Amino acid sequence: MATIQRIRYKLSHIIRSTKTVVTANTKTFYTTTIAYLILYLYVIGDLRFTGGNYSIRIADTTLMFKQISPFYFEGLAVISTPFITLILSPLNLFIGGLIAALVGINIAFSITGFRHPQECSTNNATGLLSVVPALLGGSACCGPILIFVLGLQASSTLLTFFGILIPLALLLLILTAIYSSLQIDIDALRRATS
Amino acid sequence: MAVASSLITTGCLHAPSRRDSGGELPLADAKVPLTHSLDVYSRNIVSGGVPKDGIPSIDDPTHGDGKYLGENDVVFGVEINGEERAYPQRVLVWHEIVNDVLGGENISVTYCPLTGTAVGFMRGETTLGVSGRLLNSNLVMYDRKTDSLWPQILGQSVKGELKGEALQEFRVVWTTWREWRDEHPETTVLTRDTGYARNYSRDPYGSYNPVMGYYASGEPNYPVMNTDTRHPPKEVVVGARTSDGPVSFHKDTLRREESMVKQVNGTPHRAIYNDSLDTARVKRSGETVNSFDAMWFSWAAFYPDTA
Repeated sequence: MATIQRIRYKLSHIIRSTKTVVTANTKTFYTTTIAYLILYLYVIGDLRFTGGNYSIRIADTTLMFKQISPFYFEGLAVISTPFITLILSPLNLFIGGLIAALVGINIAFSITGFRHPQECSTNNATGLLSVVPALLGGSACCGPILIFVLGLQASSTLLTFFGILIPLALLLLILTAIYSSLQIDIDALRRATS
Repeated sequence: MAVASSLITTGCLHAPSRRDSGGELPLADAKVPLTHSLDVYSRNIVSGGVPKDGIPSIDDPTHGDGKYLGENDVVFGVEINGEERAYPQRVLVWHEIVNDVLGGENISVTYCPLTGTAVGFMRGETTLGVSGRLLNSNLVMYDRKTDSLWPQILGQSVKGELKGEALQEFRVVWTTWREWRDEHPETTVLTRDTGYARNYSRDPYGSYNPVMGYYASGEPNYPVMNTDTRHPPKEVVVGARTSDGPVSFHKDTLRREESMVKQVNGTPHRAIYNDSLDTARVKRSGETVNSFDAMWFSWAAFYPDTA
């Protein structure tokens, strides 16, 4: 029982801590999340800053759940404007949004730790370092193409590596967010940011 | 990659007669001369990093007038029984195979971006798909009737129920939209309504207009069975294989010379350049044989004995 109560307490602390940090850094959280999502969609090839006429080309919607490569799914439509071409894939948007939100949370923790060192015993760099696996995760779907871009020699090891990048990125982002959240004195931080 | 080699000569590719595998894939009597055994080729097949049909073939193509194409866009032109169609490289780079009907015939137009090869095959009542695997960086196809594996450049199955059989081929012209349309004003064009959401304005490997990225230079990214330094790896050659053996003609040289002759085991093979389509035909003793453009490294990998 004591163990379960400790777990529930920790979970509650993590959630409250995250909410407090995000609330205190709303602009940073949303800016980082949106910027990372745009970067993610660009890296996986679903977004390009070139276009043509305004058009929407609808694809076979039954393919929505079809995986093209690890954690990269078919799209429903191609939306073209004079400046942007977007492949609309709900699942790619979900995965990218999840990673982006976790990056935003980690950056918010990092800034909070920098601004309020007394209330947060976290390492300021932890949040920033979490961006690295997140960026690698964004390339997971496109490993075979990245091989050509970087001029690498393809091997089964390298190709397998790309397949685990996104779950690895998610795991690292979640772990760093949990670690950061547990270092925070929530009440002290709320007093300092009110 | 160290491999044992044994020459296997199996007939005249240039005069295939029709036969089928039980009403499915039309097969050629003639087969490509091989340097290695089929098992050796099979053992050298590697993963291309995508699963089977991870690069989806176009199985329900639609056709239009090609208004979305630029004048210098690369297209693969096909004429069957008087009907003409252009298959844009910018669409096929995302699918590699289109299973279509042209001139009343069931055909597969196949394109491998990594080896710069566009080859046409008769498909009968089945369809061809992308296996996700490569041999000498070349697309390895599979047929959906027997699941046999067919490296595109070989045109012969190296694994599966139809191992050892060869597909019937037809000519595919690598040219530009402007050149093809000028020569074939009645042509139709594969549209972008493929059923898949792809940005067909973007080539993930580089560009042919102008030539940039992977297509321009550099070494192959996947292992090859043989390396030949007579030309830079990505230089284009026009290749043909007949019962006498494989032959290739350096395309830039052919453009200048307009006609070149090479002896293949004592038989003259002549390549004749066509300026209006920037393509070439190869004739063996006056008879046209199938030929196609290829990056030198891939041709030399499959045919180390090439003339």
